[in-house]
Amino acid sequence: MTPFYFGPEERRLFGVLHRVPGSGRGVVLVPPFGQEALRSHRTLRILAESWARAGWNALRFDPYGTGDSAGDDLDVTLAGMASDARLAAAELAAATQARQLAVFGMRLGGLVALSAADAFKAVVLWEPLVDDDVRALGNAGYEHEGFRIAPELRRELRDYRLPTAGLPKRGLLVWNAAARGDRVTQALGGAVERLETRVVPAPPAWNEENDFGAGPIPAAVIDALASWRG
Amino acid sequence: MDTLALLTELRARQVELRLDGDKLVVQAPKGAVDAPLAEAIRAQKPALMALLREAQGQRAQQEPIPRLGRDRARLALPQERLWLAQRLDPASAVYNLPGAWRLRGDPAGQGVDPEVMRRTLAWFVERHDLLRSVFREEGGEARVIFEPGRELVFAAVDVSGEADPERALHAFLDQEAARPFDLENEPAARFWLITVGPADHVVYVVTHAVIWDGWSFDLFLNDLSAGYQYFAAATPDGAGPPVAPVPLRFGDYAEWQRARAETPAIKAQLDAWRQILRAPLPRLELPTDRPAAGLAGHRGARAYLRFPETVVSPLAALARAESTTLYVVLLTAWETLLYRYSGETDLIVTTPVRGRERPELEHGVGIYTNTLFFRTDLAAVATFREAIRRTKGSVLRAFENQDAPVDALLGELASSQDLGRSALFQAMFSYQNTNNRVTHVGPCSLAFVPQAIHAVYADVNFWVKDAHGKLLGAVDYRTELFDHGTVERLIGHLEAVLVEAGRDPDRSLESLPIRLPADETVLVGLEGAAARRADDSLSHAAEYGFAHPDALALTGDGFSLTFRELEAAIAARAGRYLDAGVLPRRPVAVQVARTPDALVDVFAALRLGATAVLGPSGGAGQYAAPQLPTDAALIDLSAGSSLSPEPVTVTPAALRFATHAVSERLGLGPRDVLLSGSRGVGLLVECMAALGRGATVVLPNAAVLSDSWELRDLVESRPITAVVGEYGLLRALADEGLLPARAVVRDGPFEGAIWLDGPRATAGVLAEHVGAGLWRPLRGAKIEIVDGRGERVPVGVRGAVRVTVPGEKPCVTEVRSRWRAEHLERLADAPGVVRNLGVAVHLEEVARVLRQQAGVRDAHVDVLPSGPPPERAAMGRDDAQSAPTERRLEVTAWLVADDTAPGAAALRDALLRLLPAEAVPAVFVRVAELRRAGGEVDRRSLPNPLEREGGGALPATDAEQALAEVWSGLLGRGGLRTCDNFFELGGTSLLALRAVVEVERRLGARSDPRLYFYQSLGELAKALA
Amino acid sequence: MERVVRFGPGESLTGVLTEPAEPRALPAVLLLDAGILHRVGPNRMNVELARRFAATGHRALRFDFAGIGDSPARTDGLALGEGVQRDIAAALDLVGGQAVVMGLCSGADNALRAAYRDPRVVGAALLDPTVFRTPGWYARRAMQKVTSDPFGALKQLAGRVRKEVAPPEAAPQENRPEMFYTGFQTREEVETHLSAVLARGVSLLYVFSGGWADIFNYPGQLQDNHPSLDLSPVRLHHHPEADHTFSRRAHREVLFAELGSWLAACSATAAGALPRA
Repeated sequence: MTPFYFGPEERRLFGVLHRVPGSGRGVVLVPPFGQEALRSHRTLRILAESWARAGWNALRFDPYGTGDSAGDDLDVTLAGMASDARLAAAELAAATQARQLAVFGMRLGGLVALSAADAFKAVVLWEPLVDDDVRALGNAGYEHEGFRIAPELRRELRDYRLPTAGLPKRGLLVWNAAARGDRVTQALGGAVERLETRVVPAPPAWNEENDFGAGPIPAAVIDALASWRG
Repeated sequence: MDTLALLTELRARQVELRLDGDKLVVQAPKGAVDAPLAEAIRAQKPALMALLREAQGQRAQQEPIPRLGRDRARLALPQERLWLAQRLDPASAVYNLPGAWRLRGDPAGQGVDPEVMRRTLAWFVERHDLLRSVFREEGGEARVIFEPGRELVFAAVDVSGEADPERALHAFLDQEAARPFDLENEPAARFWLITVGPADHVVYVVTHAVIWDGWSFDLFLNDLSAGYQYFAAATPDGAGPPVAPVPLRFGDYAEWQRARAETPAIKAQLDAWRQILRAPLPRLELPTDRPAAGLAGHRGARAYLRFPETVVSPLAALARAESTTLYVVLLTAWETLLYRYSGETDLIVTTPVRGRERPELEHGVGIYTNTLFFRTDLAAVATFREAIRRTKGSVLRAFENQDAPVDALLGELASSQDLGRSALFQAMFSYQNTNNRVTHVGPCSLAFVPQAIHAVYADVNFWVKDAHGKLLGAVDYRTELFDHGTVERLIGHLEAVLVEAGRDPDRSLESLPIRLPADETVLVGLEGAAARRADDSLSHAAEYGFAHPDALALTGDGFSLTFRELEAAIAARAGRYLDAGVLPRRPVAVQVARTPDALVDVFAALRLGATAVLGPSGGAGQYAAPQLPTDAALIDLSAGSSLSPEPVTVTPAALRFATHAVSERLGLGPRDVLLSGSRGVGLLVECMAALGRGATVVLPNAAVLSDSWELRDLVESRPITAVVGEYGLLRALADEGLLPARAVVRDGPFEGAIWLDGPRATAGVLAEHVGAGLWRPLRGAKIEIVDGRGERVPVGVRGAVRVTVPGEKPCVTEVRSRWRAEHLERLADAPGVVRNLGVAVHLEEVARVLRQQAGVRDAHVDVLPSGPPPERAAMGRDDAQSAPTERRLEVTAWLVADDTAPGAAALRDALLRLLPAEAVPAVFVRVAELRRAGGEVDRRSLPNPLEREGGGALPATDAEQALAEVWSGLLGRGGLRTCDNFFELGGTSLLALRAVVEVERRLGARSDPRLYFYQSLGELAKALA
Repeated sequence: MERVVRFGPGESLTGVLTEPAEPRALPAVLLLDAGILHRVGPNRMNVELARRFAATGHRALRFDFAGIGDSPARTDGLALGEGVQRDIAAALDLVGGQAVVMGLCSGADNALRAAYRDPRVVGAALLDPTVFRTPGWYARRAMQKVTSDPFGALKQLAGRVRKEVAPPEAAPQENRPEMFYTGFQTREEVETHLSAVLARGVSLLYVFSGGWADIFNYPGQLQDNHPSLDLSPVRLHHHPEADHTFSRRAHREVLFAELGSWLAACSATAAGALPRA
């Protein structure tokens, strides 16, 4: 496990690389937004480690303006996060033998993953934000759960449309409950040729558990994700 | 010869000189003093006597060794080493020393009297205190403890009644030789008298090297003979057998030796040894039959040798001419052979010396031998004669310092990488005197009983003894490393060195011809008629097409051609070429692509006998290029890299051979489906090989080849039976579990062994892996292993592979190999060089380039293991002895850098401009310092960036199991390991509280539930236990 | 200038060191984990604080204790509280020289412990550390109930119903997250630490939020907790409008300003107090 900074001087990003020597598979993990990212930090670490144990090189990173990366909350935009994910892909390929790259995103990170998916051969989503939630976030006001939302991000959220083209051939979509993302599943199913959908009930890692500030670990989802064969 | 050399020779032969008044007395073992030596002594008599007088005076001044008479004493330095070794492996019997002698009397009359024998042996045991001593550790130090109450361990055994007494005798001898000693609780000496027949006995002693050296056997026989005679007499006269008394306890000697080691004179000698044995110590690469692995064993065997007078006398003359002794000349020849075998010029040969100069030490059983080392540097030696001079120097240096207990240094000198197998004990040499003067014991004749297994303490030990102008001796060798045949061959090579050096000592060492006639027969690959058979795959494909027109020939993304369709397309294209004026032996430009059209272009050109020129830009038609060779079948302009900038040229012969080779290697037949992952000429060869046998070729396009998931989909929909391609392709298939059994990596020589080498693509060599890292060359190719001068090397010796394909010139490759019987053994590259995808990476070179980068103060580059290669992974084999494969390695750099040094990406970019891509490290690890010992970085101190956390073991202790049981129940999951954390597995705080209660019910102890957040199952268990 | 640092036994502790453009002889700042949140801190406050402090010349280190965030779990078998202190000591070794420690909630308690144990700590900023209810607390709490729900309060007072607010110790253990903290457990412990730290002249800053109202609700409560100690050198701020993690940006800005001002004062004191090296 190697924590490090990467990216150009004007956009320094923090990431943690879990290497698997000799493996050609890699995955970039995109975190959710704001407070959800803090709550799910543990989950993402364990997910990356599980993927590594399953033979995937894994790079989890903080988009610009979040976590330990440079910048602050007003610098966060969907387009920026997608560009950071692409940078992470390049970094992952340079530092390992991984050429079969997948991008993983949960919640808002799922939408980022979809935006950056052209740089990857597969897209993996867990509970991506669906329309109502996206719009709600866009209308949340100046501050949402401790973090400010820049006007640009607000605009992106309000205008958000699910991509229907330029997506990789393969994908995995994991939901907590069957009915949750029907529309999204259908839409993506058109754009991603081989989309696998699974329903895995699990506690929401992005919500707080018992005032700890941290979220629960969705063990079943982690198992499902790490055992995906690509 | 001069006095010093003479004394050296005398010492080497165990000849002793004494002054008796004004007479010089020579005391020597039988046969040790030959005529030339006697002459030398006579000539030097005045000088010798003067020296002796001086020494005597000195000796008179020498303090006698103090008699301490203690029952507990420290061990002598060599004893400590052996005692430690025995303690580390108490069940081992490698240090046992067996000695058996046949005692035959007159069959009608008397043999050995067992009772007299018993009394003799009891007296013998009483005489020598070590035979009644045990070894114990007291207060952290080892001690020899004399226990006077101990008695002789003796048994009388009778095998005369067995069906085969001889066999039973030897079985008994071997069995007892292998029984280990418990040095703490028993003295290390056991005796037997074995009755084999009437008046036919064997007296047998098994002792241990910690108390007994080679000369102790002589003492034993002396004492045996004198003692038996005494005790056999009807009434012993009470004075005891007439033998010299043993004045000292061995412990007295041990203390004295230790004290002496502190004196300035001895310390100076030890410093001299430190200098002689300074790092780095060379490792000899001997032509072993099995690799050295783990701790060095001591089971050995013996191959006898005999060099006649015709061999010896020129060497003796040479010795005289060089003012030295035969001993030195023999040692030089031994070193020469070792050099020729290994290429190593810095040679260490070890030799034991008697170590009993003091009169008090002459008659006691114990270990007094000292180990000396001759270190000779043969670099840039022009002739054998010059080598003799260098060896003379090493010998003198060693004997000048022979009083120092070199054993004391051996602990210091062992390098960290060399725990069980020392570079100091690979080659040994000695001039032996099994000078057994005892011929009778009582009425019986005494004869040594040779035993099958010997203990050996070096990989190869060459020893000789003088026998009236001949040389008799043997090479003792470690059976774990060598087969008997290899050692016999070694003796043959050694004899060749001796003969040739004696004949012309002014030849260079390299030019001495050492190869034996027996070495010749296996050097050429089996040549078969197949090579000369015209194997035109395309014709065969056409024939197959007539018989099976609808069989699938080529298939890929969006296309499928049957054999009939393929043949039709080729014919049509050939027709168009003819119309366009394409002629035989004239170039035709074709495109390189993984499409049926491109293949048809090439096939059509080949059919016409034109030269297909594969270029990056295509277009059929005439191609005017004046410099292209006209005798080629294919010229690939698109190939070419930083390694071989010239285009690849393939002659028809080479093309035929390579195609045939691929079909043979893969065993292709009509039902096969071959996935071809290669480019350029390789692709063509594979297609032709498959089609020529009626197999189908699957041609994935570049996009699919580069995506292992696409590949998986393709192969799942159309199962393949064989694949040829680059490492990445095979790796991708193996990752998905889809690698077929017949898989060949096209990355380098011997890896499945298809390669097209060098600019002229002359070598289509084929070899078949027969297991354990051995390859057998298949039909048609001539393979030789040659040295730097292009001369063939003897069997077992390493060299470079030279390949000759019929119709082509020989081509020396960069591959190092050697013959083992009729197989080739693929060898690891030179130390410091690894092959990454076929490209040689010189690790120190990469480190040097790194050090030149700004801010980088020090660097070390190495490779980290990256898992088994694809074939083995697919087949579930982990054949540790398989040939190292050409695979992509994790080149890793450890850096000591300050903050101005660039980051990993920038470093990579910088290095890519200076080094081939395969040599650029993928991983950079910053460390505070690089610890070096003897010039080498201590690998174990370097952090491994690839170590994964977690892992952990299965729950084993009670506490671990209880926790695992409770957690499994609460979390609904099994397979828990000691590294698991409750919350990371999906537990909640509520569940944690319940777990604590449940565990308390089982174990009676309660964890602090807060710890469940931070600690693992294993740690919680530890706290509960 | 931020960079990743790995330190401590086996170089396993992970942190980010923020350094000023020009090094100055000021105490470093250690930002401790709060509960089990990782080193960026609640609402990423540690990142912002580190960068602000670096802008004023202080080196700032935010790092994860073993088992939290990106630091692997402990392998030395130390008990929790002791292990955390060991990790803080390693962090102090890394930054070298004097340092100020800051933490929230359990981080605050750990900060006080660190100040107690290590003379290199010259200041400690404690955000919502462990305090204990006082009669004053009960009184104010009752007052609040009266002013917010007069009828309910009167009913309770009149009825003396058993559903009187029970002292915290009897609350069902399952719902007490404090149980999982490494914080202090008794008033005596706190007092021991506090008095020693005061005696050594360590600068102390306390900040209490409204989120802590369940155990702290008036500024004087700290002194009331420790009647025998003179807490006048201690700086204390009470922000009943803010929640436990100062989620509102505006509240955080106020907090940051207070921390910055206190840090400046503390640095001046520390520099003046120590003899020249």
